[in-house]
Parts: sequence; C-alpha cells; structure tokens
Amino acid sequence: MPSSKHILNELSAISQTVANITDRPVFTVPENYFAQFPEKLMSKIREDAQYETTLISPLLGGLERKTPFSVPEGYFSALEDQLKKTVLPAVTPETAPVIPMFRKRQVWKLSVAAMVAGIIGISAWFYFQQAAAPFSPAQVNVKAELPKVSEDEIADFLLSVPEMPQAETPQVAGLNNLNVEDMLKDVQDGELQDFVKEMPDLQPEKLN
Amino acid sequence: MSVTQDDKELLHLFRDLKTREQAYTAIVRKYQEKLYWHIRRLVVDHDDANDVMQNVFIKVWKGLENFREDAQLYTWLYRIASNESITFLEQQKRRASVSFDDVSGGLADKLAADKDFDPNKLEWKLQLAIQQLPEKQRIVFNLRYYDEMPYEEMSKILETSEGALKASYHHAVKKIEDYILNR
Repeated sequence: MPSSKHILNELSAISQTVANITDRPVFTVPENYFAQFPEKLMSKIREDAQYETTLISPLLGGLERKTPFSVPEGYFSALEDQLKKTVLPAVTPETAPVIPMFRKRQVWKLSVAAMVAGIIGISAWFYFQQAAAPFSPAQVNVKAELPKVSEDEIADFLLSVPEMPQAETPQVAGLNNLNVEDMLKDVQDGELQDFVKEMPDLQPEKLN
Repeated sequence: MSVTQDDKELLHLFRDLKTREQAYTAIVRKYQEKLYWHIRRLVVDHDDANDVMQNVFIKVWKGLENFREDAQLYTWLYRIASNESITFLEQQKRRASVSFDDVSGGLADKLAADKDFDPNKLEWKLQLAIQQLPEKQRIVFNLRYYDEMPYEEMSKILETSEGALKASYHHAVKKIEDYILNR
C-alpha cells in the first residue's frame, strides 16, 4: 500500500479494491541476502581480468589490449577453403576393406579345442602316473593283506627295524612330566583292580 | 560446464556423416580467429601460425567424434592449440639446437621482422616483454590478458590448479612491467 497520501487518494479514486490491498510482501528474500550482496559483488568484480591486471600493474591495466601483428588480407576467408583442400583430403583417404586376421568365431573354436586337448592330455598323464606306481602304501588294505603274512615274516620285520626312539614331542614331554598320582586320583580302587586283572602282564608278581 | 547449445548442434551434425563437412566448416568459421590469435601470440610469425592452425584443425577433424562434451568445445580447441604451439616451439628449438633463451631471442627477431614493428611503441614493447616469459607462463598471460579467460576455464585447458595459474599470472605481469619500465 503506498505510503504517500496523495498516491493513495489517487488510487482510491481509480479503484477502491486495489487501494484496499494491504502491502503484505509476497516475495521472499533469502536470509542475509543484503548483508552478503556487496561482498559477493566485489568477488565478481575482482574476477574480471582487466581489473585484476590493473591491481597488479596499473601500467599494464591501462594499456589497450591490442596485438600489433599484421595479418595478410583475406586470410581468414581463405582459410576455410585452404582447410577443405588440404585437411579433408589428407585425413579421409579411400579406405581399403579391413580383413581381420583372426575372426572371432575361429578364435572361439580354437580356444575350445585347446581346452579339450589340455584336459585329455592331463588325464592321460595322471593315468600313466598311476599305472607306473601300481600301489601306494595308503591304498593297501591292511586287514585283507595281513592274514597272508606269516608270523615268521612279521618277527623278521620287527627285528630288522631299529628301535624307534620315542620322539620328544610336546605331547610326549607333557605326558612324561605328568604326575601319575594326579592322573589317577579320580579313579576308584575297585576300577584299578579290575583293570589290572584284565591285563595279565600287569600282575604284581610279574612286575616285580 | 558442458557445451553450449550451438556447439551441441554442431557436434550432432558432425557425428552425422552426411552433414559432417558442413559442421566442421561451421566450427572452423566460428573459432578460427580466436585460435589464430592465441597461436600467433605464441609463435609470432604468421606462416608459422598458419602451419600450427592446419595441424590444430586436422586434430580437431580426427578427434571431434570422440569429444566427450564434459567441457566447453572451445576449452578443448584451446587445449589442442596450446599443445600444438608448444610442440611447434619445441621442434624449432631442436632444429636450431640452441637453448631456450636463444629461442626467445629468435622470437624477438621475428617480432622485429614484422613490417609494422616499432620498438618505441608500447604495444611492441609489450610483445617483446611477453616473449621473455617461459612458454607456459606466456600462455597463461595471453589467455588472461587478451582473452580474459576465467581461471576455471584456463585450469581445464592447461590442467593446472587455479591457484597456480593466478600466481603465474601475477608474476608474469610483474615481469612484463619491469621489462617495460627498465628497458
């Protein structure tokens, strides 16, 4: 609503409706807009090349930005034609048809064939490896084979094998260091006696 | 910032084989003067600038189809022009088998060979001063002083940080001022 009475009176004379519209602002202004505006404006001005140059050197800033070199007359209008004659033919020669050395399909077929040959080769190698070694110790069925070995053969074997020293593994060292009393403290006497009866070699008269 | 609508249309036309040559001609017409002056300020001699222009636009023809449009077209063109100009100057250096200082002396000689050369005029003194700068600094100065290019765009052309470019420009201006006042 105009603040001047004169303008208001004039408006009322033309249109009372319009004169009665209150001056409620409809546009919003971002917060701090006016406070920040001068600084933003100065940043833009400082970005200007000419002003920047003037700040660094008033001498240079004050010079007319003119390059004094001479250019042959009609150079730019002739340049277009010159480029058409020299550039276009130079970079668009007639191209011969390109025949690829390896067609994709052939490469694919060759790859599959190579894979199959590789698989056959490796399988054959494994097969012949196994054929050369008819058995491995792990494959022997001890239960089935043992009855075929006589007692004399077993005895001869045991005599031929040197006594194997007990490996001092951590587990064995640990066992050796164990106190037997501690181990047996939870075992009932009756259970121990039953165990001894079952083991003839552990009868007291035999141990002593 | 991606390509302008006009450049987008030109690129679209270029990608169609039927309209490729027309689009290419339109691009040449649109950017030739800007690129020419950028090159000329670096290589000084018109015939050399023309040679470099040819090389630039051959590269444009070859590479435009793969242009990714993630930057302005003119940024890409300027980058090619800058690189071709530097390559040209490096080749000159090798041919002459002299140190860089002598090449800048050679450029000063080319300036002096211009029919309008007048060492007493400030604009020619400015050109002599510019030729004393290292190549890259010369490009920075020319882009900022003559083309009034924003540092953001310059950064994309020269692949250097804005901060480094601002510092380079500041030093370039000071060197030029010193040359003009003391010689």
